[in-house]
Amino acid sequence: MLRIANYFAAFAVSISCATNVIAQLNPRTQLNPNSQLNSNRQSNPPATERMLLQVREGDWILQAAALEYLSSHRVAAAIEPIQVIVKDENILPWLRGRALVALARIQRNDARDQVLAFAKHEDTAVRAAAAESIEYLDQLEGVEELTSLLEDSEKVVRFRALTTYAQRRRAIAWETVDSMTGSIDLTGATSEPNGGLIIQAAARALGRVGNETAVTRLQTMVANDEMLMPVVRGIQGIPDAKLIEVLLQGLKRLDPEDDRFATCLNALQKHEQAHLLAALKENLGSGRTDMVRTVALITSQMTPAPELGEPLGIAASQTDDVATIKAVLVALGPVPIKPDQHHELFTGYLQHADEDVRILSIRCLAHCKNGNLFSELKPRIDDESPFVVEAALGALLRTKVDDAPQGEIVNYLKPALMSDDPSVQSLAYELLAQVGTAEDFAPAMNLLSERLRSSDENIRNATAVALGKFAPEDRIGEVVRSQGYLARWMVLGTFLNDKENTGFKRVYPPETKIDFAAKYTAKYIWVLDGQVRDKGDLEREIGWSEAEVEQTDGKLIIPTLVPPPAAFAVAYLVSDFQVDSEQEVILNVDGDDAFRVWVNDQKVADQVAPYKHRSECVVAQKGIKIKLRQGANRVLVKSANIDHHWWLRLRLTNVAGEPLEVTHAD
Amino acid sequence: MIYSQCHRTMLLLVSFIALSSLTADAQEAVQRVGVARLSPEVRASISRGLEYLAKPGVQNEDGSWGSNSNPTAETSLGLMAFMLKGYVPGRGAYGRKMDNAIVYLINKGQSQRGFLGTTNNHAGMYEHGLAILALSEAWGQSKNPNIRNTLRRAVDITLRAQNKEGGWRYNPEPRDADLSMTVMQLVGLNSAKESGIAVPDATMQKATEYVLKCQDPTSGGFKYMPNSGEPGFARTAAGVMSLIMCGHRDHKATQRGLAFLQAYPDQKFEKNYPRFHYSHYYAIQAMYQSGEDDFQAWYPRISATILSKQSNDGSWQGAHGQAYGTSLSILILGVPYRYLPIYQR
Repeated sequence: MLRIANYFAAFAVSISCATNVIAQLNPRTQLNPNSQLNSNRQSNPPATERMLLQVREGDWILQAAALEYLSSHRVAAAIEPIQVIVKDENILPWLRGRALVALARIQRNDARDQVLAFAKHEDTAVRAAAAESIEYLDQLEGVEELTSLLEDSEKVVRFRALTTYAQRRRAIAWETVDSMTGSIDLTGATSEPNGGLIIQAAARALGRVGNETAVTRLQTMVANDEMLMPVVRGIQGIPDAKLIEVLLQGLKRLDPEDDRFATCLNALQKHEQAHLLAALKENLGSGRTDMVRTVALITSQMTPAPELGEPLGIAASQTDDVATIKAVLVALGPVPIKPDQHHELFTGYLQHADEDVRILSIRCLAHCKNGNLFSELKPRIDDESPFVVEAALGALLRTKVDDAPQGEIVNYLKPALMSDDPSVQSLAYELLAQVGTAEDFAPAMNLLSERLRSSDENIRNATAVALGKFAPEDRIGEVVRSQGYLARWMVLGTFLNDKENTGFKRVYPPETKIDFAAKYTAKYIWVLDGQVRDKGDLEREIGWSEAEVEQTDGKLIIPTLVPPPAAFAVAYLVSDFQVDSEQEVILNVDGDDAFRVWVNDQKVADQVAPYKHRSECVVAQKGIKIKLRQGANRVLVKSANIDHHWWLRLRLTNVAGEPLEVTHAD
Repeated sequence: MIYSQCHRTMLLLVSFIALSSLTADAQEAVQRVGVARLSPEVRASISRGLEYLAKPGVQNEDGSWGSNSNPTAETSLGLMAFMLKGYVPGRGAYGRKMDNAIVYLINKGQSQRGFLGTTNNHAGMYEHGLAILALSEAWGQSKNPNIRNTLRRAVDITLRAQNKEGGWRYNPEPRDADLSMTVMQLVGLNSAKESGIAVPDATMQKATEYVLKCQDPTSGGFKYMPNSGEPGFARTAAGVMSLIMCGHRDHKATQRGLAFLQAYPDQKFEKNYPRFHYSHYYAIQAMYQSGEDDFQAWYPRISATILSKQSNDGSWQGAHGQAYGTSLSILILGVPYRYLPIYQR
């Protein structure tokens, strides 16, 4: 199963690693065009201090990064350490070259003498840097040196000089640019020494000239896999709308998970929005599947422009290509694209053969404000793919409850409720609990009653909890009894207890005789605002009262049945019931904090949970074999509480683990 | 308690009768109901309390009552103490005093962009809620046309200050919440809503949910915050009152809260019980709204305590001064008077 979440997730590729390489051939585009020489420290960018330290460090990679940062912000304070590098003859020539470029970027014509001097340097990298640096000098400076560099013995220097020449003499540079770039051997061009830099420089020169032949040549180059990245880096930042097409040609060949895709997007993003949108629309009109997919990917990743929605929708409806359809759905789903306008398109894809397309169309529909999602997704609740069903249920959980079919939700969810897939089943329960109403209770019990009898406690609990969300008050007992829990009780409380559970050990009258009509004077203690009352125990009259379990999980919540405060307290609970025949059954008891259980006057369970202040103190005793007699049986429970929660739950099953439904005496 | 248009009409009718048929000196409105519950001692005690509040020098020149620490609260309570007995702003012996109090609250709102409480004060939001309550109760009785706008702006501040949990706390911003502050805002908002100011149902619903979360599952009492603190008498009285006021009198949580209040040891009626006035201001209303039996079991005991606390000058000492103690004592004693909409069942 191809997970959609991963499908388009590979765009976040950092381009920072390419900064130095780009900077070699692309210096102006790294500059803020409005930047002034930053002579005032206070106006410097935030990382200036760190970069001024870093540029002095011995690591050439860190130094190069600092040079790029400081020169792009034209930090005057960097001139002195940069000069140190420029003048150091023992340093790596490439780094020296980068320092020269940085100096020219900051100082412009003030660096003229050094730039021109380095144009005659013996090292190739330094001369190439000088060729690059001439870009920052006045137009009339360095003309001779640039001419000389155009005829340099080294190809990389000649091409770097060519980019500067194309920038300075765009109107007349084509002859030279054509001559030099036309001679590039496309096969294996990047494998020769400095091949990538040469292609990058050539692409930049072509981009700067930007005539039809130049753009056609760039198209040819970008179609070559090895040249793709150098070309993209070369033309990046040149504000010529014709180059958008070159970048689109590059993008359409790339998988979104390819690291190079993000670099191309980044280059594309530097173009003006209006130009970009016009180009994208024009490409959508071409009807070429690969371009439709590319535009969709760009739209979802970069330009969620509503005006692209309609042409994307039209283009998608004309293709069968699954990858393209998926890309279009991803693009059309977000709210800014106004997904409601494509509602029909989304519903059309709900029956698509590909499950990812079905899932995406569900997610798109979930973003629409119009329409009734319950109606639209009904067939998908019975989809052959559990992932599609999950998507549908997930969408329905977030939609308007009012749209749910009143009184019909059980039938609606039946395939999912009965699914073998645990995720689907869990979501179906969640949705049932969320939208179910009292009207749905009877059909839900019909469908799920077997689950309430399950020996799997998780299934039983999930079913009971879901039913409990919408069960009418007078039918909660039905859910409780179906699971085998004792539902009807007589309750008496509270008698005095303390932090040592002394009251649990002490024998109170109900342990010797049960008389539902009797009244007892019982002591109790009240904690006043966290402080134990200092006037001794209080007294009050208590008597037995009837109680029904009110939670579908079978728990009898004792504090709601006895007078407050229900702390430091003991209560007695009696359940009388009938069974048809003498039988051995299994008793399971759990509760908070302590319980002692007698069945027909025989003590069968006795547990005290370790006390934890203001925390749950749950204890359980399960699998207790007991014998019930034919006719009337009585369970007596003594339960104690110190503070916090106080509840009790008793479940009876036959020896096979099936719930025992008993008849309570009236 | 559900206040309805019918109740408000009745209030106006009663006020009209009070204004038109009785002498100024005995402007006490006709008691259609509840008069039998008020012993002569209680009625005399309330009258002496009101006389104290109206004495020269007790009300400040700007119309407020009390000290500088929480003047909005004391003014709001003082104003309600007079309205409790059927006195109407602008009319009769106390009319000017009441008018001045209303003007004070309106001026406060105008000078603080709608906020009515004392700024930079932890009790500021309490005061804000109380003032909304007092002005909502006064609206319809007073001829001051600025009450409506003051209320609207004040309610708007409260609405915007509700936090994600549904509650409020010390500052008019949606950050944290506690039960005590939430109840105060809930009571104020409910009264404003009943008076005709737009308050979204969702706001009331969320606030009610917050109050419910503060209930201690074991005792049924209410805690200061959902996951902290012990259930206490004052908190429970506040929680129960707010639930009743929002139409949840029959909710299990309300019933358990009432049981908690009733079962709470008798120390609650003792003179020096902590937060005596605050606790009983809510508790008596809760008992009154709970029903006749509960009220009859409670009222004689609390009224006896309060009567025994009254000073010779007619005032009562309170945790925040005499104006505070006197106003709240009157509001507790005078529950059987039904001229305040908030006191109507």
